[in-house]
Amino acid sequence: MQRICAYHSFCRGYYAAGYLYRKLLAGNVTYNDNNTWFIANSDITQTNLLDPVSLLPTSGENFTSDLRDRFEAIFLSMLTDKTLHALQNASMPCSVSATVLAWNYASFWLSLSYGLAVGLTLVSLLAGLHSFHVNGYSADVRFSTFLVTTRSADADELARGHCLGRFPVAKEVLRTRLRFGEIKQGAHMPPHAAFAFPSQVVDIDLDKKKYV
Amino acid sequence: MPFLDLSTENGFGLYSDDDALSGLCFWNIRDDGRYIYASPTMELQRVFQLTMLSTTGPLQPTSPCPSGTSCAYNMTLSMPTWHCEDREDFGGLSPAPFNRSQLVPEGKLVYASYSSVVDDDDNGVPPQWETMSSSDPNLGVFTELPSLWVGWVTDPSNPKPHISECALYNASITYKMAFAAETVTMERTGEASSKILLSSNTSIGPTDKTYQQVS
Repeated sequence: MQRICAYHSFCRGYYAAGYLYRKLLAGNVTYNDNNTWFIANSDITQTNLLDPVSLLPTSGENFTSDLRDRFEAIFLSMLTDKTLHALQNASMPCSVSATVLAWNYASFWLSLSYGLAVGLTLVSLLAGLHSFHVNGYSADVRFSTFLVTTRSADADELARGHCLGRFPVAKEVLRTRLRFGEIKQGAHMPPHAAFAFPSQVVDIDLDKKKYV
Repeated sequence: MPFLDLSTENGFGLYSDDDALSGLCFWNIRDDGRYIYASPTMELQRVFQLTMLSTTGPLQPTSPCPSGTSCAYNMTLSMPTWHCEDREDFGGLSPAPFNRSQLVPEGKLVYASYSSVVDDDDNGVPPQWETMSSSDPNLGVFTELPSLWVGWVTDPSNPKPHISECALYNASITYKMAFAAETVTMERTGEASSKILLSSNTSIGPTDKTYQQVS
């Protein structure tokens, strides 16, 4: 078991640091004969312990506390000196504070808005799936699609007199209802589907017929 | 966290492993193999000068906080400190090098300081050791603790002289180390277990009763 050497305790830098400090502070500062300027004879003037203009202590009445604090600061500075044998690492409890963003959730309103959006989307989806099932095929709404689905005599008749497509579209054209389905024609003719007047059209039956 | 353990100076000598690191004192070895104080080390002098010349306080450690946070911890260090008491007049040496009437406003002295022991050499080695041989058992024994005498003046418009005697104490000092963004503060929050380093009429030497032993 090692017992701490009291002598070495005396000089764990204590006496040495104290000596350096006493030496730096030693000396004096006096006025000259006319009290017009100072004669400085001490290394304390290298530090900011004395005010540079008045050469009186910067901390005034607390000069001895200042002397004590400055001496202790030598040992605090040692905390950054990695070449010192006396510098160790130790664990200490440390309280940490951080500013973090906190999210505030209003669950009712969030559920309501998201629920409505999801619900309506689901309805549209189901409607679309049902249509696909019933129709047996899907189609988009580009020009070419309309071009091939408007090949009927009724459509030609409707368009007669308006072939330029001038804006605004004529009211009688706008108000005319058309229905897409199988055109009624003789049984020997191949089945044909197009937009036509509702009275000329029947339901499409993809299972039984092949449409041209 | 970085921590100063000055008791590791004990036994840090010629045969230690840590050659790359520095202690705080240099040692001489007298005839019976005991270590005696020689001088402060270069590293101690370097840290001493950096701290004394600084206008922004002690050298600042790097922040141990996780990035983006601020943190604080308390640290107790066993270290020396000064205890100062007011005095009526200068003393410690006979004759005293100054007297109170020399201080402003009566005299011309604005500041004065000296130690109660005259250190003959540049290293703080007590003058009586200079004349001892290396086999003298009294070589290396500290018989007194030099105290620091300071005379100073406050209040330039109505100058008041002060005289203090300061002695070196061994104490446990607690600091609150706080790190925030760009700043570091080290706030002294307490002092405990203060004992004067060497009381009068006692001495301390390398063959002390509590000398280091390995069993």
